[in-house]
Amino acid sequence: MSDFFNFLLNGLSCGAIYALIAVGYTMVYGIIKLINFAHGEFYMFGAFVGYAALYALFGVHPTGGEPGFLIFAASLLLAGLLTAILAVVVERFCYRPLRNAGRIVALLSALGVSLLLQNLGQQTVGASYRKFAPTLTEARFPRTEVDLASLQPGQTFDRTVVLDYALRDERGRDQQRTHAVVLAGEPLSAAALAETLRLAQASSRPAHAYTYAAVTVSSKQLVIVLTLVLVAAGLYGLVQHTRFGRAMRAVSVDFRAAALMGIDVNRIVSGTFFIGAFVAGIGGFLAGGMYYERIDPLMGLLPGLKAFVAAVLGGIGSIPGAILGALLLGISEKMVEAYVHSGLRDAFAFGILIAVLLVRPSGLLGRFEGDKV
Amino acid sequence: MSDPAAPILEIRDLHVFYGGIHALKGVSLTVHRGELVSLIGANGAGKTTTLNTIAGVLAPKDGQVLLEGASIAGQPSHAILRQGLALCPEGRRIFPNLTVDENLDLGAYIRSDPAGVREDIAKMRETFPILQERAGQLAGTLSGGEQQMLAIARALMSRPRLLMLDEPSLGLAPLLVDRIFEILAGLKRQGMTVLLVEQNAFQALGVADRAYVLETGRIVKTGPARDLASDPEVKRAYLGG
Ligand SMILES: Nc1ncnc2c1ncn2[C@@H]1O[C@H](COP(=O)(O)OP(=O)(O)OP(=O)(O)O)[C@@H](O)[C@H]1O
Ligand SMILES: [Mg+2]
Repeated sequence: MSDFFNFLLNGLSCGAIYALIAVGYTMVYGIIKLINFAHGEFYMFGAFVGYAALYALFGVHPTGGEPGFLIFAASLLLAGLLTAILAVVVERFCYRPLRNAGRIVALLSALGVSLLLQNLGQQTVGASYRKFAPTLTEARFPRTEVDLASLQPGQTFDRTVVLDYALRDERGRDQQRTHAVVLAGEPLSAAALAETLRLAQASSRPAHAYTYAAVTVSSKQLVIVLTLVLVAAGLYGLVQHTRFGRAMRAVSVDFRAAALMGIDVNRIVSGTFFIGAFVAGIGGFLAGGMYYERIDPLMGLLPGLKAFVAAVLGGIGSIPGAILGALLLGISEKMVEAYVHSGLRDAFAFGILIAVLLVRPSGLLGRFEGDKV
Repeated sequence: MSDPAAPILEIRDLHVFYGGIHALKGVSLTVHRGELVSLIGANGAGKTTTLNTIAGVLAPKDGQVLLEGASIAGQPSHAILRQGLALCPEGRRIFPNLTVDENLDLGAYIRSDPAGVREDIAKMRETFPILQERAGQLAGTLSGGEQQMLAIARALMSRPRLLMLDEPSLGLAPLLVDRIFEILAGLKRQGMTVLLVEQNAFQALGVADRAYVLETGRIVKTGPARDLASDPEVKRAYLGG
C-alpha cells in the first residue's frame, strides 16, 4: 500500500511538471487558437538559461555544491524571463504575420520554430546530455532523527537508518552524501557504528542520522508542487481579477469586439506568450535542472507533447483544465509504469490523446468549438 | 491636427473593398457635434461596412475619415476608440464568458479614473435597471434585448465623443424596440453625438436630426430627417408605402 502512495506522489510531481508546460499551451491556444508546438522548446530553453546562469554568471562549479537560495532563485527568475522574451520574439516574427493566413499555416510555422530551436540548440551547445549539478539539498520527508550519540552496537531498528553528511570540495562547497547505517531489522555491528561515527566526524557540516516513513516526499518534489500551486494561484488572480486578465478573456472570445473596447490585441497576445513561456521556462529549470539533473536540446520534445495531451485532456483553452489534465496524466503514467509495464508509459499517454479526441474532444473542463486546427 | 471648428466626423469619398467586391463606392457624410444622424438602407447596402471602416475594423482603399479634421483612416480600432469614437457593433458582440459588470469594465478599458468608472457604472444601472439585477451574471445568459442594453451601456462606458450604433433594434420585440429608441432620444437630449444605422427607417427617421440613405454602396439621398420621412421615394422604399 505504501508503494501505491509513493507512486502517487511521484506521479503528482511528474504531473506538476507537465502542468507547468501545459498552462502555456492552453493559454496560447485560448487566445489565438494556435497549438504552439514550440512550447516544449521554451521549456528546454529555460533549462539552458538556468544552466548558463548558474555556471557562467554565478560561477557555480559544474561538479556541484548547492548554489544557495539566492543564486537558485536568481537563476530561476532569469530562466523564466529570458524564455518569456524568446517567446515574445517568436510570436512577433513567426506567428503574428500569419495570423490571418489560416490555422494550418500557423501550425506549420510552430512546427518549424520547434525544429529550429532544437537544431539551434544541438548546433550551439551540442546534442549530448549535460549533467546539471545538484541545486538543492536532497531530503525526504517525513523523517525522524536518530541521536548519533545514543547508538549502541547490536541495536536493531524497524526502519533503515541513513546518515546524511557532507564533504567539502576544493572550491569550498559542501557536497551532500548519504550513508546507510543499518538496514531495518538487522543488528548494528560495531564496525558499522565506528564507520558511521567516523563519517559524521569528518562531515563538513553537522551530520544527521534519520529513519524515514514508508511514504515520503522529497524536497525537490515539494518545490515543484509548491511552484505549481503558486503558479496556479497567480494565474487565477491574473485572469479573473486584473485588467489584463479581463482583456485576455475578451480577446479569446472575440478579438474584434475586444479591439473596439480599446484593447490592443497584439499586446494582449504578446503578454500571453510572455506569461505562458515564463512558466514553461521556470518549469524547464526546475524539472530538467533541479529534478532530473540532466538537460539536452531535445529535452522539451516529449514533455511538450505530454503537456499537449494534458491540455487536450483537460479541455484545451482552459487553465484549470490543463492543470487537472496534467496531474491526471502524470499520475496515471506512473501507475502504468509501476503496475502494467514501464515501456507502455508513453504509448499510454498518447492513447489517452486519441481516446479523448474520439470520445470527448472538448476535454474534461472545456467547451468544444469544433474545427480546432 | 484636430480642429474644433470642424465637424466631429466627416468622411469623404470612401471606397471599401472585400477582395474584389466593391462595397462602398464613394460614400461621404458628415456628423456635427450634438447631432443624431441616421444612416438607413436595405440589406447589403453597406451600412455596416461604413461604420466598420470609420471604427477601424476595415481599412478603406481610398477616401478620407476625419475626426475633427484629423485623418484617422487606416488606424487600428483600439487607437480610434481612444480618440473618442465608439462603435456598438452589429450583433451586439458582448463578451458572453464575462459577467455583466466585467463587460461594463471592459467598456471603460481605456480609462484610468476608477472613481469615474464606478460612477458611470452606477449611471448605467440607473438607465438600464436590468444591468443592476444581473451584475454578476455571465453576459451570455442574458436575453437578446438585455444583451443589446448591455452593448449600448458598454459602448457608453468609454465616454465617447461620438457613439455609433449598428442596428440596435435588430431582432428585438416591438416593445423593446420602442425602449431602445427612447434611450437614443434620451442620449440625444443629454447632448451625445450619435451616428445610427438602422433598417427600422420609420423610427430611425423619427429620432434623428438628419439622415442619409445608402443604396448599394452609394449615398442616394440626404437631408433633415423630417423631410426624408415625407419623401415619396423614401416612403415607398423604406417606410412601406
Ligand atoms: N466579409 C465580407 N466579405 C465579402 N463581402 C462582404 C463582407 N461583408 C459584407 N460584404 C458585402 O458587402 C456589402 C455591404 O455589406 P454590409 O454588411 O455593409 O451591408 P449592411 O448594409 O450592413 O446590410 P445589413 O442590413 O444586412 O446588415 C454586401 O453586398 C455584402 O455582401
Ligand atoms: Mg449591417
